[in-house]
Amino acid sequence: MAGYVIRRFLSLIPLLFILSIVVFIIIELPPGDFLTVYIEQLKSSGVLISEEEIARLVKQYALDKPLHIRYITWIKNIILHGDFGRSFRWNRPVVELIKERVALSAVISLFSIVFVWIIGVSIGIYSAVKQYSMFDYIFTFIGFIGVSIPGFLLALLIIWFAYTKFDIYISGLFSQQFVDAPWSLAKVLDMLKRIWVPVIIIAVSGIAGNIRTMRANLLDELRKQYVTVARAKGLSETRLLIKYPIRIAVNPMISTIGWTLPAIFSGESLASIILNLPTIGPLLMQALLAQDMYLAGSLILIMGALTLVGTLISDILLAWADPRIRYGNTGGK
Amino acid sequence: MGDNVLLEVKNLRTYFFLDEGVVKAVDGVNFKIEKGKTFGVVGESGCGKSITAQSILRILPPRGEIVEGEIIFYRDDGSVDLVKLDPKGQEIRDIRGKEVAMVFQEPMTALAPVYTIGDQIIEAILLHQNVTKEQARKIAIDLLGRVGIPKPEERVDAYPFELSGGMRQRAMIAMAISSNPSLLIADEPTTALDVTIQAQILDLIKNLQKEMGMATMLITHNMGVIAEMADDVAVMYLGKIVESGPVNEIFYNPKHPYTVALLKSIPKVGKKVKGRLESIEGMVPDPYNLPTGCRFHPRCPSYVEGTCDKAEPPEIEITTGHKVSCFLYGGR
Repeated sequence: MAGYVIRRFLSLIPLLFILSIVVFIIIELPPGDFLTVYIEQLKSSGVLISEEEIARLVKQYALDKPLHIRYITWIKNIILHGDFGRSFRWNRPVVELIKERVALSAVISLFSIVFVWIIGVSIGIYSAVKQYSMFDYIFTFIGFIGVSIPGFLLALLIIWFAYTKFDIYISGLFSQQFVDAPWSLAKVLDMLKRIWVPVIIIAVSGIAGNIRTMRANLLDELRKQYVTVARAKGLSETRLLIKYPIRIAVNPMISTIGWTLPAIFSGESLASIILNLPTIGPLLMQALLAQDMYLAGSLILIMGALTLVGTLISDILLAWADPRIRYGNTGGK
Repeated sequence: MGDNVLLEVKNLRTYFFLDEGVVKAVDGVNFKIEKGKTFGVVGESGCGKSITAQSILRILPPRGEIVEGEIIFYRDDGSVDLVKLDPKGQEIRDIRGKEVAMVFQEPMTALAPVYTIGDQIIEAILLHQNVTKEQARKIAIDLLGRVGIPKPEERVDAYPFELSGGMRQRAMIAMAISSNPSLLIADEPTTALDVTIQAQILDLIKNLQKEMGMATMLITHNMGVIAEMADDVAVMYLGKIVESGPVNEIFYNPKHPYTVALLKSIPKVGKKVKGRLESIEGMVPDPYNLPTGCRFHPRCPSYVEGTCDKAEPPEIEITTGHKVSCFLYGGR
């Protein structure tokens, strides 16, 4: 097991390297460099920028050097100084911009993941055990709708519904008086009151997907002979279900935890744009629209790295949960 | 004989209610299993032999239901009708695995892949015996040794996928006998195994049976296995027992055309075979549309028109204990 974990960790290094190259290509893709765009922007808004300032930026980002030197400079800044570059649109370091929003994104995503798993898996289990019951039919129906409805549409519907029926305008993560207020207990409580809207919107498709997957997995397992064997042993129905088929049916889902992260991230982006939430998603979209390539690149890099780490976590969890994987990969005990 | 009966099945009917129609998997079956004896049930796939066994333990698949009949289990302190018990209730669960245990056909899938065999055997022991975990583990190791698994103190911590098919079936048997059952149901215990391993497993079951004095209900489609193991035999065809009796009677004096045909289709060592091996004409009929009258009549070489397709043949006792359901022997 330890050997397996170490090997998986080591394999992360080349993957992260490849990811950084892809992100760097994205940063370099737009014609000209961002500095040109930046100077153009400043000129069009009537602000003059000094030659020294331009020269300093050129030097800092090695813009006069060949491609591979630029890459090395960029990655060195990130690894050694935690400097992801500068957002020219906001005229601030990328790190600062991300820091502000990452906590909110994390909170919303975390809530969503917990919802997706707890609700999705438990409904899936119940649906499979009571196959073809009323409950199963209802949640199969809801599940199909949940899988097919796009998050942004659901967000718009909820906003419209709340506004027309209850005269509440659900937008933003904070009430008016808290938007610019410093963090306090009252502000957190205010946020918790509003956070369920984006969480539900983001979680719906995940919950629906998990219901479908869990139901299908469990139905497959329930037909296996070891279930009958356990029953013939004299185990009670509940203990038997938890110990055997459910335990095994969850395994394939563990292997997909890694994919949940990017899915939640993109779902969060759409919902946040519509609900006007100060999270990472809208920031990325604006950065892409404005060709703010350092900001966009950094966000893609962070998301990519998170996905890789997520996959790593799910692989390790799976090896821990399923002896067939643990033993198959290390060739012994 | 009367006092020696362990299990008596009377007019058992187990039907499956499916969207396509009703499948009468077991349709009026009667038999008795005596203490310490081996009762063999033989028949083609789909004849209802496994469903009969699952009816006894009340572990039928979804949509399967016992619609009629009694399954009386005789204990020292009285008898109980298993059909009347709640299939999820405590009473039947106390019988399962403790008094009536079962060995299944597919040792590959019968053990859950994510737990060690020791874990699964210990679970059965803790369920039915008043022992601590450490004691249960000792019992499990001892059992694994008794069923012929080498180095049981190591293998107890092995996962099923680390063992061969024969070893897994031995582990299954160890689990089944863990609480000294009075009846062991073996549902095609050797079908999925190599021929050499088959003989070993059958010997093992035979020896354990002798040691522990338990009765065995052996379900198979293999006449050879029956000849080697059984004391009494029931031949099943499409949910009914067509012929039953002591093993020698069935093999040396078969009466029902189906039994005769089954015995003819076994190749015999030392006997010259002219041309092809004999087989039974036709196919097993569609379970949703069973033939009228005697269910074997469309394939029967002795079919009498106007009789066999009109009414079901009654059961006739030819000699003591040898019963056959066929119009050739009366009942017209």
